[in-house]
Amino acid sequence: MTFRRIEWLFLWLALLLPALAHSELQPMADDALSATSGQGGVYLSGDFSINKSGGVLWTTPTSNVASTWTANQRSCATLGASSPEDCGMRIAIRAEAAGGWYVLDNMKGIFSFDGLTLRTRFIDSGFNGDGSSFNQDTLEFGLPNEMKFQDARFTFAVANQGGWRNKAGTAANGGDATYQQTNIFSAKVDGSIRMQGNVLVFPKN
Amino acid sequence: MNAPLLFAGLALLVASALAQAEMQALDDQQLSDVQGAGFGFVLDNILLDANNATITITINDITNGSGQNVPISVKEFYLGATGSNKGANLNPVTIGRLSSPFTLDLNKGENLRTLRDDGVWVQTTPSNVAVLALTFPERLTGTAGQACISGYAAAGSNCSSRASEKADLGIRFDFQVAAGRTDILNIDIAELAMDGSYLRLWGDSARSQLVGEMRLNLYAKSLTVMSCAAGATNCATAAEQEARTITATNLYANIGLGYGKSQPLLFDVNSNGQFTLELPNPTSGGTTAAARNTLATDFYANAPRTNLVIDNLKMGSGSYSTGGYNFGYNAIQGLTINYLKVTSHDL
Repeated sequence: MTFRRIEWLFLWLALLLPALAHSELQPMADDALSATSGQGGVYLSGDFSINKSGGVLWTTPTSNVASTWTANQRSCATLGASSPEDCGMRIAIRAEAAGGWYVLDNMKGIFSFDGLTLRTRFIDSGFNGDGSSFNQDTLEFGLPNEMKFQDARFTFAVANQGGWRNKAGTAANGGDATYQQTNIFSAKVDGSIRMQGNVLVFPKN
Repeated sequence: MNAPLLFAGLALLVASALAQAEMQALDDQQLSDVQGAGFGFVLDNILLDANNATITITINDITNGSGQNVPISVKEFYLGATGSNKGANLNPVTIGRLSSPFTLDLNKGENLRTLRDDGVWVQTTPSNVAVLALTFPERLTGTAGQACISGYAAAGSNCSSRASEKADLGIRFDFQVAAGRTDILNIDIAELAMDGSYLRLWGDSARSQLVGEMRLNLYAKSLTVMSCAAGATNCATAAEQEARTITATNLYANIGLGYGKSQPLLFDVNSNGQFTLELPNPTSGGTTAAARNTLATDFYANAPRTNLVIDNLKMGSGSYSTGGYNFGYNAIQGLTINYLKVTSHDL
C-alpha cells in the first residue's frame, strides 16, 4: 500500500493540530466558570413531506376496485371515492405474542414549521411562586407559533397481519382472502394550527 | 478505511484522552439523592388553536346512502387559559406545576400509588414488574391540596393544579350527513383539570401480552354541548343558542379502568384482526375458594371506583315554559366493573 502525498499531509496535520491546540488550553477559575451560563440553543425550521407521491411498496392502480389490482398495487382512497389515491407509510405494532396488530396506515402529507427552539433554561422564579423552590435547569422546547399541514393524513386500524394484503385480490395477483383489516378512523389535516408556548422537560425525582 | 485516515483517527483519540478531565466521583450522599424516576414536563404558556385548519375525520367506513364516507369536520379546536368565553378570547395557560408536573417514567410496580376515594394512597400495580407510566399532575392530600372545581367543595380539594393552571378546551364536530344537511356538536369545557389521571403499561408474562391500567379524572366548571353553529340561522342570539344547548355545571368524572393486581386492563387486537377491550374477572387467578375470597376482598377494598357527578344538568333554558328542562343533580358513584369485554366485528 502506498500513501499519496495528500494523505500523508492530512495525517501530519491531524497529529500536529491537537498537540498545538492542547498547549493553548487554560483552566478556567471557579468564578469564571460560575459566571458562564449556557446561552443560545437551537432554532429549527422544517418542511417534511412523507410519501406525498405514494411509497415504494405499492403503485397506484387505475381503479378503486380491489379485485382488479395487481400484486404491487393498492389505492387508499376513501370509501365511495371516484378516483384512486396513493398510499402512505404503514406502521404495525403487536402487543400480544399471538395476537393481531395495531396499524397506523396511510400516513402521508406535508408538515412545515418555522421556529421550533431547543435550549436550556434555569428556573428560580416565577410560575406563580413555584419557581424559587424549584431552582434547577430545564430543557425547553419552544413550540413554533404556527404549524402548517397540507393534505396530512393517517388511518388508525386493527388487522390480523402486520403487512397489508389485498383481501379481494386473486391468488395470482398476491391476494389473501384471510386478511382482515378494520379501519377505526381516518384523519386529514389541511391549513395551519397555532401552537404557542414551551414544553419544559426536567428529571423528576 | 485506508491507513493514513486510520492513523489520523487514532491520533485524535489519543489527543482527546490527554486533555485534563474534570470528572469527579459522586459520593454516597450525592448518589443516594439520585433516584432516576423519569422525566417531568410542564406545558408553559401553551395555546393551541386550529381555527384556521381543516381537519376531517372519517370513522370506520360509516357511509351515507350513496356509499360514500360521512366526513366529520373538526372546527374551532382550541386549548387556552380559563375565561376564554368559549374560545372567543384565547390566552396562553401553564398546565402542570414544577412541583407537580406531568411525568413519564419507568418504575417498579411496588413504587406506584393510587389515591383511593377515602384519601388513602394504595398500590394497585403488581410487584416485580417494570411499569411504564404517563401521569398527569398528581393529586395532593392535606393542606397543599387545591379545589378541583372552584366554588364546588363536593369535588374535593386534593388537586395540585391551582385556578390559573386549569384550561378551557373546545371542539366542534360537523357531520356532513347528506348534501345540504350538516349536523353539529359544539363542545366547550371551562376550567378543566385532569389531576391524578394516568396510564400505566407493563408486560404480563402469563398472558404474553401488554396490559395496563388507566385512570381518567376530569374536573370542569362547566361543559356545554350546542347543536348548532354559532351565528347560523336560528343560532345567533343568546336565547336561540341557549335553547339548543345542554349545559352541565360543576361536573367531575373519575373513571377507573383496571386494577393491576387482579384485574389488569387488556386492550388488544385478537388474531382475527378485531379490537378487544377486556377487564377480566378479578377472582379468576384464585385456585381455591379461600384464595378467591382473598382476591375479592382486596379488589373491593382497593380497586379504583368510577364516579360521574353532575351538580346541575339542564336542557335549553332549563325552564319548562320555554321548552327546556332542568334535570338538577345527577350522579353515578362508587361503580366497580367486575367483568367487561368489548369486541369489534365487521358487518
